[in-house]
Amino acid sequence: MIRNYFKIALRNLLKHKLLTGINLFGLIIGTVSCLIILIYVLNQTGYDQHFDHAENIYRIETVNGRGDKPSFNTATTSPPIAPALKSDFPEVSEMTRIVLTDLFNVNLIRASLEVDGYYEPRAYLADSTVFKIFQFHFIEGSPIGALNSPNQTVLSATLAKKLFGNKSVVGKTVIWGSGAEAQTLTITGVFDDESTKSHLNPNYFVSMTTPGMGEFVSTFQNFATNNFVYSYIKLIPDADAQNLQEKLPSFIQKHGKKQLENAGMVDKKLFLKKITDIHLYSEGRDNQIGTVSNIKYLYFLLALAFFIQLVACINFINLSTARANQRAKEIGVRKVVGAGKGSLIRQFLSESLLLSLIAMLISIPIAILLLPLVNELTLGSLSYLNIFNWKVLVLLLSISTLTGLLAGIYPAIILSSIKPIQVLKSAVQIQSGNGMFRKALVVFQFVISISLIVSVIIITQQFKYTQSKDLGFNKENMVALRAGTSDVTSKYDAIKSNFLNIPGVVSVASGRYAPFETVLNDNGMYLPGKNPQDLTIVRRNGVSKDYFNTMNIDLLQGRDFNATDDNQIIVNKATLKSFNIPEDKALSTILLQTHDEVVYEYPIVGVVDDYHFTTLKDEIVPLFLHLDNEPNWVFVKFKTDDYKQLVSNLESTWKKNIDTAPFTYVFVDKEVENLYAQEQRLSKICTVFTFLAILISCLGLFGLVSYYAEQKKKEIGIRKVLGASVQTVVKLLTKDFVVLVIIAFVIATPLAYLAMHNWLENFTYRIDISVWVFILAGIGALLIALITVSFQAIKAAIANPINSLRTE
Amino acid sequence: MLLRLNQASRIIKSGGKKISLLDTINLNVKEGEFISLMGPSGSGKSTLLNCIGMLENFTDGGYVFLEEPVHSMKERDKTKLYKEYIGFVFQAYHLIDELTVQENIETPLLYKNIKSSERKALVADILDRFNIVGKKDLFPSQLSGGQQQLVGIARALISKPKLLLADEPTGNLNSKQGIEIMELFAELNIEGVTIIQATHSESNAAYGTRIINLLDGKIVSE
Repeated sequence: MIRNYFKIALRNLLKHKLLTGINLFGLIIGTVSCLIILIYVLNQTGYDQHFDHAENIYRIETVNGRGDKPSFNTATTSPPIAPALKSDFPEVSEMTRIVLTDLFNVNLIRASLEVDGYYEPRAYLADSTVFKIFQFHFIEGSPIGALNSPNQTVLSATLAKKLFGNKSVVGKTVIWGSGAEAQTLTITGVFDDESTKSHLNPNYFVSMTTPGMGEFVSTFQNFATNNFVYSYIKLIPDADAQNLQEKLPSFIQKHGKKQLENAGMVDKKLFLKKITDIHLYSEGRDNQIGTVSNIKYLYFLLALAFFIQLVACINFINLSTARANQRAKEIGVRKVVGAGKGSLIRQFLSESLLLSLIAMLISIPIAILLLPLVNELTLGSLSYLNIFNWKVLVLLLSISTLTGLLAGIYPAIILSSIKPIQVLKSAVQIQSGNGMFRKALVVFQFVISISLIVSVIIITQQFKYTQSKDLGFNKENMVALRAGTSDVTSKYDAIKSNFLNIPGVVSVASGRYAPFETVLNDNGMYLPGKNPQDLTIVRRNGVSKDYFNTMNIDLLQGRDFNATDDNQIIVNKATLKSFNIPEDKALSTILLQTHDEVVYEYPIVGVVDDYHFTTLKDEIVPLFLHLDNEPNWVFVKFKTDDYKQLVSNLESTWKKNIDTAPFTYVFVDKEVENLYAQEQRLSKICTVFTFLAILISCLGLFGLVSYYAEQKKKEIGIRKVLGASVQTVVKLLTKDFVVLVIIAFVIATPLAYLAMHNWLENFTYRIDISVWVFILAGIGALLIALITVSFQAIKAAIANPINSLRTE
Repeated sequence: MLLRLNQASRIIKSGGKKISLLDTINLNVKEGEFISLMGPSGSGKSTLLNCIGMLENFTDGGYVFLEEPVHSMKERDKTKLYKEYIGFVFQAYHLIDELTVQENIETPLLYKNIKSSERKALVADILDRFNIVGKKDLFPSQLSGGQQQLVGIARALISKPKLLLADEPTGNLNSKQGIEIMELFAELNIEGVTIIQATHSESNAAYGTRIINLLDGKIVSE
C-alpha cells in the first residue's frame, strides 16, 4: 500500500514539474536554513558540561549597587572571596581563581631571548586547584601539582607547537613579558585545546604564586575592591546552591563591612552562576572572560528558520488545495473503487512527506557546501562533522517529517472530502478548500516578508549610522602598533622622531587603550570637601603628549600634556557634568581619590569634548586621561595612499630600534568597525533570510496565479469574446492579490515597528524609525507581488480566447 | 432478490423549487438479471444508477440491498456495502491517469487489504481473460477508448461484485468497440454477474434481459 502511495506520489510530482519545483525549492531552502541554524545552535549549547559534576560548579559574580546610579554588574569578584567561601562553608568542596592577565599585560611570550616572541592573549593566572575543578586533557605532563610553585606554566597544544614546533616541551622554559618585568616560566604540562568546549578557552596558565599580579592576588585581603578575579567554587554533591546563595549577604558583611563602607560599595551583592549557564545566559554581566553568546540571539535565529520553513509549508498547502480540481477525478475514482477517507488522507500525507524527505536529502549536501559562507557570517567553525552527528540527523529527520505532516494535513483533509459523485457527474467546478483560508495564508506570508524587509532596512540604517557617526575622534588613516614592552617604553621618543621622518607620517602618539578597546581601568573619585564615600567612577586612560591632535579630539579648554606632568589630568565633558563642575571653574578644580587611607590629588589641566571611547551602545561616561609612559599602543597618523610602503617603512624603523617586541599593526578604522561586527552580522543574516522569504513567497504566488488563471481560462475567454481588453483581464486577475498584500502591509507595520523599536533600545545612540521605511517596504512588497502575478496574468490575458473556449 | 426499490424518490431543491429527479420508483432486481435503463437525456437514468450504487441517496422511499435496508444505513456502512458488492463502469472510463493499466485494475484490491501475491494473481487472471496482458504497463493515455473501457470493466470486476452498474458504457466508443463491450457484458451476465446499464441505444439495450423506460424520473414502461 505504502509503495503504491509513494509510486503515485512520485509520478504526480514528476507530472507537475512547475508545482513540484516551487514546492521543492521552498522546502529545500527552508530545510537548509533549519539545518544550518540547528547545527549552529547545537554548537552553541553544551558549553562546560564535560567537566566532572559540572552541575555543582559555580562562578561567583558581583553586582555593585551604587544608589541611584546604574549598578555595576561584573562576572568577577574581589580576590579573597573564593578562599573565604571555602573555609566558611562546608558544602564548598573546592575553589579556584583565575585572573585574565590580558587586562594588565600585552603578554609577550617567547621560547628564549634569542628568538622572536608572540603576543599571546588569554593567559590565565590560576590557583593550583584549577585542574581539580576544570579537567583539561593533558597531552604532556600531569595536571597534578602542575601549578603548585611560582613560575610554572601549562601551555595549550597550539601554543606549544607555535613556540617549539613538535618537540616535547615539559621541563623547558619560556620568557613571559620583557625587559625588567620579564619572568622565566617552567613548562609543567601541555593540554589539548581543540576538544574542550568551555567558556574558559585558555591559551596558557601561569601559577598564581608567580611574582607580580598573581602574588598580589594571592595576598590581597580587601573584600570590596579590585573586582577583577574570576572565582569558581565546586559544591559537594546534593548541596543546596539556593541555600548557599541566601547566606552570601551575611558572608560578605561579616568579612568586609568596613572595607565596603570605605570603598563606597555598601550595596555589593554576590551571586552564584552555574558554569553551564555562562555561555548563553550572561546577559547583563560585564567583563566576561571570553566571548559569550546570548540565548536570545539563538532564539531569534531559530525563529527565522521556523518562519522560512513555515512560508515554504504555506506554498505547499496553497498550491495543493488550489489544484484540487485536477486531482478531483482521481479522488472520486478511488472512492468509487473503495478508498476510504482515511486511506486517502494517508495517501496525500505520504506525498507531502515524500517531498519533504526529498528536500531533506538534497538539503544536506547544500548545507555542507554553504558551511564556509555560514562560518564567515557567524565567525563559527562548523564542519560537515557537525551535520553527520546522530543528534542532528534525528532532529533533521523529525523536522522534515513534521514539515511534511504540517504541509500535508490540510490539503489531505480537503482533498479527501471531495465527494465522488461531484466528480463523476463531469465538468462541475469543485470548490475545494476555503478560499479565505488560502488568502489568509498568503497574507501571512507577506506579513513575514514585509516585516523582514522593514527589519533589514532599519538594522542596516543603524549599522550605517554607527559607521558614519562622528565619534569625536578621527579613526581614518591611522595605524596602531602593538607596544607594551619596557623596550618600547624606553625608546619611545626615538621611535617617535624616527617615525616622523617617514614620508606620509603626520603625527605619532601612544596610549594604554586604543580607541577600539573598552577602557576597563577606573578610579572612584570625589571633590574636595565632599563625602569621600560618595564616589563617582571615572574611567582612566593613560596617553602621551600629542594624543589629542593625533586622534583629532577637540581640546576645549586648557592644554595638552607636557613632559613634566605627573598627576595632572585632562577630563571629558561628561566628567564635569557628573561632578557638577561649571565649565569656567574646570581648570581650577582638583579631583581626589583615596587609596589605602592615602589621598591623591588630580588637578584638571584640560577639558576635551565628549568622544566615543566605548561603543555607541553605551552612553559616554566620565573619563580622565593622564600622562603615561608605558604605552600598549603607538598610534601613527598618516596621509598617503601607499599603505604598503608606509607599513614597510614603519617596520624597518621599528626593527632598527626594538629587538624585544615583534612588529604587529592594525588599522584603527577597521578595528572600530569590528566593534559593530555583531550588528553587521545580524544585518547580513537578516538580509539573507529576507531575500529567501520573499523568494519563496513570490514563487508560491506565482504558482497560485498560474492555477487561478487556469481556472478562469473560460471566463477570460468569454470576456474577451465579449470585448474585454487585455488591461481589464489583467486587472481581474491581479486585483485580489494586490488587496492581500495591502492587508499584509497593515498587519506587518505595527509588528515590525514594535520589534525594531525594541531592538534599537539596545543602542544609546540610535536612529529614529521613519515612516518612509514602512512605505518603502510596502511598495517594495507590492511591486514584487505585482511583477510575479502580472507575468501569468498577462500570459492568460493575451491568449487567443478561441483556444480556451474550444477545449471546454 | 438482489435489491428492491419501494416508492423510491429523489427530490432536490434548486432555486427555491423542488425538482423531482426520481419519482416513486418501484423496482425489483433478481440476481443474474441484465437490465437496460432507457430514456431521453434528463429522464433520470444516471441518477437512478447512482442511487442504486449508493453514490447518491434516495430522499424518500425504501431501498433494500441483499435484504439490508440501505435507506436507514449510515454513510460508512453504505460505503462498506458497495465496496463489497458493486462495481462501476463509466462512460468516460474514469481511469487514474497516473497509474498503469495493471495498477488501475489492482487499486480496488489495495483498498480491500488483499495480500500482494493474491493481488498479482487476480490481476494477471483478469488481464489474461480480457486479452490485455501486453498493455499492462501502459498508461491510460496510451490506450484507445475501447481499450480504456476494457480496463475500466476489468477494474470493476476484479473484486468480484454481485452487481455491475454501467452508465452509458459505450457512449464514447465507435460502434465496433461498442459491440465488443456489449458482447463482453452478455458473456459476464451468462457467468452470473447481475448488470444494470443506462443506454440511449436500442441495439445495446437489446443485449439485456429486461428493458426499463424512464421519463421525467418515472418508470413509464417495462
